[in-house]
Amino acid sequence: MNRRNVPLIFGIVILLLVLLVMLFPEMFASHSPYTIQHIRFLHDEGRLSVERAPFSPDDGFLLGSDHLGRDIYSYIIYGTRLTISLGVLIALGQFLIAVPMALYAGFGSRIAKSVIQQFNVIFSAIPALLIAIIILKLDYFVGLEKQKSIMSFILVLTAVSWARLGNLVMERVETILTQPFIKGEVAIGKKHFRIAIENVIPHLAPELIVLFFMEIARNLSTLMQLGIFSVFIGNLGLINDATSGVQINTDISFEPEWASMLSTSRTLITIAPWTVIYPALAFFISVLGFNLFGEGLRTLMQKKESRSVLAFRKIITLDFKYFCVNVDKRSKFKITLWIALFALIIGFFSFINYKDYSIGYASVRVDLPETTVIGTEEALFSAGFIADYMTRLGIVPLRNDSLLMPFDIGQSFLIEEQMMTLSMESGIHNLNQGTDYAFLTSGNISESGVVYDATKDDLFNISSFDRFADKFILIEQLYYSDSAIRHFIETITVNAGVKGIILVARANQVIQNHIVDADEDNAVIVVSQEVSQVLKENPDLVIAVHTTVKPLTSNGYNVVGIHRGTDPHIGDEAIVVGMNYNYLNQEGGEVLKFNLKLMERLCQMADQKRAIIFLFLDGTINENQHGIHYIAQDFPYSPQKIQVYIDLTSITHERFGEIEFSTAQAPPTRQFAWSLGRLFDSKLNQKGYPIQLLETNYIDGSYYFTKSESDNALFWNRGIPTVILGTVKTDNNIWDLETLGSIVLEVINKNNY
Amino acid sequence: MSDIALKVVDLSKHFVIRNNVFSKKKIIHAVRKISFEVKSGESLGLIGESGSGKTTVANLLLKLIEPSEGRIELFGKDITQLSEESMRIYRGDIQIIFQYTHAVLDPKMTISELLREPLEIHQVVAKYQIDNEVDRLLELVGLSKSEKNKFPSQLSGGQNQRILIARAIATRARVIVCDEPVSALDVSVQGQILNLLLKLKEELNLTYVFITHDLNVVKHMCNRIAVMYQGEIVEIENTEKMLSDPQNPYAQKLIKSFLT
Ligand SMILES: Nc1ncnc2c1ncn2[C@@H]1O[C@H](COP(=O)(O)OP(=O)(O)OP(=O)(O)O)[C@@H](O)[C@H]1O
Ligand SMILES: [Mg+2]
Repeated sequence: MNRRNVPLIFGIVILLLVLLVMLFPEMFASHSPYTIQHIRFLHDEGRLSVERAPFSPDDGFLLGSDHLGRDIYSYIIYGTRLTISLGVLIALGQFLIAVPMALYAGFGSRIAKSVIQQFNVIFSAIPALLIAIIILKLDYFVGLEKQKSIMSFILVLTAVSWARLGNLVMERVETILTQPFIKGEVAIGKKHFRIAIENVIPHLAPELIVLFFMEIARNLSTLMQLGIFSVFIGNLGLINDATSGVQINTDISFEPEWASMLSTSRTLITIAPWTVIYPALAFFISVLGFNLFGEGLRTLMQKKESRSVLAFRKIITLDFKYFCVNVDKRSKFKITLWIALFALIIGFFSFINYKDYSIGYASVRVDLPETTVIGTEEALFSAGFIADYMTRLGIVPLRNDSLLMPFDIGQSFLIEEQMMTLSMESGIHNLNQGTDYAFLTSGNISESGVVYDATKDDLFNISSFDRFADKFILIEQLYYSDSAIRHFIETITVNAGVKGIILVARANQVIQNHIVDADEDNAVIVVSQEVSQVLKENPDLVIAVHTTVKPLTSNGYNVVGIHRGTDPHIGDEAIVVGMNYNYLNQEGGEVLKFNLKLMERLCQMADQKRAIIFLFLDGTINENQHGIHYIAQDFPYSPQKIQVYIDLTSITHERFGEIEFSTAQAPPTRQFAWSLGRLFDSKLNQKGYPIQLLETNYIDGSYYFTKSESDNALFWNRGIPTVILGTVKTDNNIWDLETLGSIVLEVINKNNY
Repeated sequence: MSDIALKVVDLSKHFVIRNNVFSKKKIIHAVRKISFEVKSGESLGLIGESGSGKTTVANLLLKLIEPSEGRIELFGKDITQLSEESMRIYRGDIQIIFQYTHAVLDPKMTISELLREPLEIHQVVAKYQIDNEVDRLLELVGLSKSEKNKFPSQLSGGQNQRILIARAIATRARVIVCDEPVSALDVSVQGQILNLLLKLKEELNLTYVFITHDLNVVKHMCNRIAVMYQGEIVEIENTEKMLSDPQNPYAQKLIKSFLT
C-alpha cells in the first residue's frame, strides 16, 4: 500500500477531466461548434487582408479551424460527449452480449461456446475494423440521422467486437468453475443460474470492471480508425461536385464528434496539420485515460480482499435487505457510494443525447379573446397580455419604458359581413370570399350594377369618364404596377360616379382580406381570374355587393422587448424573432399561446449568450398594416449587431401540411444567419417535413427577394439577414406545432452560442 | 428395504482424454463395475492407494459426475438417471465433505452466507429462523458465533473443515460421503474432527461413506471396510475381520504395510 498507484491516479485525473468536459462543454469552449466562418478579415500593419479557412492556430482560434472555419478546440470540446459516450455504450453492448454468453458457454452450453468461438475466429481472421467499414459505408447507414446513426454504430461495432471479450470471459468462467468450491455448491443443490450470479460473477467482477475500461479504450481507438476511413456518425456525404459525371463527395458532419474531424481533415494534413493532430491527440489522451484507469483498478483490486462483494452479491440477487447484513459501516457506505456513482453514470449516458426541446404550449391556460385584429380592443388587450408575459420572463423594453410600440395605420374597417353575387340567366350565384373575391377598400355598402370591362382600355389617357358611370369597372392588374393601379382607382372614382372597382388578381395573389381601407362610397374588390373570365364573357351580367364593417382605431401596437445576452463578448449581439399575434379564429389563439411559450422556452435556454429581441407584430393579417413595416422604418436596435431575423409571423396554423421556408435572404456572407438557415433546412428535411420554398423574384441577376413586402422589410430596409418559416394548410395536415417548435428551439439553441 | 441407505450396482466410470486433436483417445477406467451396499446408520470405509478411484466413487455417489454404467440407489430410489433438476431434491439426503484445500469454500463468501445457503435452498427451516439455525449449526460443530462474519481465509484449516461439516449436516442429510476429511489437517486437529464426526453420527444417526488411505482412521470410524485397487473393489468385509484376516492379496499387502 505504500507505493502509490500512479496509473490509477493519472487515469482518474484524465477521466474526471473528460467527464467534466462532457457535462459542461460550454464552460470550456470558446466558440460554438456549429459556427462556420469561411473568410475573415485581418488588419495587418494597417492593411486589411482577407484570409480563407482553414485558419492556423492564433488568438481567434486556439487550435486553429477546419476548412469550414469551425473552431477545432471548441469542436473537440463539444465532441467529447458523443465520442466518449459512444465508446462507453459500445462497451456496454459488448458486455451485455459477452458476459451472458460466456457464462452459458462456461456452464457447458455447446451452442454458446461455438457461437463465441466462431465469431471470434471470423473477426480475428477478417479484421473487425474492415467489416465495420464495409457495413457502415453502405448507403443505408451513411444517410441515417443522428439517433439512428448512433444506434447503428453501437449495434455494428458491438456485433463485430463482442466475441473477443466473450472468449476472454469464457475462459475465465471456465477456470473459476474448476475451483473446488463450485463442486460444493453443486453438491448442496444450488442452481446453475444462482451459481453463475452468486459465485462466478463476484470472482469475475474485478476483472470485468477492469476489462470494461479497457474495452472503452479499445472502442475509442476503433472509432478513431473508422474516422480516418470516413466512417462516422452523421456523415452527410454531401455531393460536392458532379461535373463530368463523377461524383465527388465531401464527407462532412455537423455533429461535433472527433472521428469526423479526422476524416474531414485527412486531405488537409499537409496544408493544415492542426486539423488532424489535435483531434487525434484528443483520442490518444482519452484512450490513455481509460487504459490507465483500467490498469490502476486492476492493481487496486488485486491488492484488496474486499467486503464489497458481499453487498454486491446481495444486490445482484435482488436482496434489498442487504443493509441488514452484517457488513461493517464503512464498506456499506462505500458500496452505496459506488452504486450511486454507477447509477449516475448509467443515467447520464442514457440521457446524454437527450435535451428537452419540447414547447408544451398545450398546457398554457390563458383566456385569450376569440379574435385579435389590429385596431380592436381585443388587440390592445392581447398586446397588454403579451407585455405582461414578457415582463414576467425578464424581457425589457428596447426603447422608452414601454414594451408596446404604437403605430398609425390610418382609417380602416374590419369587415363583419360581406357578400358578392352574380345574377345570370341561370340564376344568382354567390361568390366565395377567400377564393373568388376579396374587398380591398370598402365601407357599409350595398350596390348592384353591370360591369364595364376596362381591361382593353387605355387607362392612362381616359378620354371620357361617361362610360364608367354607375358601373363596376373591371381592371386587369397584370399590365400595370401597383402605383399605376392606385392612380387609376383615384382618377376613376373622382371623375366618374362608379359603383366600384374590380381588379383581376395576379397569379398567386392572395384573395383574402378581413381589414379594408375605409371608403364609404367606393368599393375596391379583387376577383380571381376565373371570375373575371365570367365577367368578361357576360357583359350584361349584374353583380351585387354588400358589406357591413366596423371601424378600427387608427393605432396598431407592436410588442417589442429584449432578453439580454449574458456573454461579455457577444452579449450585445442579437437575434430577432418575429411572431404575430393577430388571429381570426380559435386555431390562431392556439398559435398565440404557442408563440408565447416558444418565447418563454427561448429565454429559459441555459446557454443563452446572445440577446434575443422578440417582436410580437400587430396587423399581420393585412399586408398594408403589417407591423414589421413600422418597426423596419425605425428599428430600435443597431442593425449591425443583429445576426439574424427569424420571421415566424407566417406560422398561423396549429396543424398544417407543409412548411413554407426561405433562406434566400440569409446569404453565405452573413454566416450566422446562413448556418442557421442550413441547420433549419437539414433539420426539417431530416424530420421529413414537406417544404415549400417561398417564391422569389430574381432582380438584377444577383438578388433574390421574396414577393411579399413584409417578408422583405428588414433585409431590404435594414440589411438584416432573414430566415422565414411559416405553415401552409394542405389537404393532409399531419404536422403539428409542437414538433415544429422543438425544431425551432433546437436549431436556435445549436446555432446560438 | 429402507434400512439400506445406499446401494451401488455395477457402477463404472471411464474418462476419455485426448491431449490434442491429433493424439489418440485414451480411456481411463477410473471405476470398474463396483457393487456395495451401506445400511442405514453404518459407516463404510473406502480405502486404497492413490489413484485407485476413491474420489471418483464419491463424485459418482453425489452425482457430481455421470456414471458410465451401473446404478445407484438412495434409500431405495434409483437416482442414476435423474436429471440435474430432479436430483436437486435428493441432494438434501446425501452430502459430501471434501478434503480441505485452499478453495473448498467460496473465498468470497462469509461463513454465515455459506451456512445460510443450504438452509435456503432446501427450506430446512422457516425464513425467520435461519439466523438461529446458523448459530445452532455453528455451536453443533464447535465454533463460536463470532466467526459468522469472517471469510474462510480468515479461519484455520480445522475451522474450515468444521464449516464444511456444518454445511453437510445443515440439509439434514442422512448419508454423508467424507472424502479424506482430515488428511490435510494437523494431527492434533485430525482427532478433534474425527470425534466431531463420530459425535454427530451418534446424535443425528448418520450414515457415512468414509474415504481415506489412513487405516488408523478407518479402524476408529467404520464398521466395514472396502478395499479398492485400480478401480475395482477387491474385498469388502467387517472392520475386525478385514484387519485381522484379509483374503485378497492386494488387501493383505495394504494392511501389512500399514501394520509395520
Ligand atoms: N476428470 C478426470 N478426467 C480424467 N481422468 C480422471 C478424472 N478424475 C480422475 N481421473 C483419473 O481417474 C483415476 C482415479 O482417480 P481418483 O481421483 O478417483 O483417485 P483417488 O483414489 O481419489 O486418489 P487419491 O487417493 O490420490 O485421492 C486416476 O487415474 C485419475 O487420473
Ligand atoms: Mg481422492
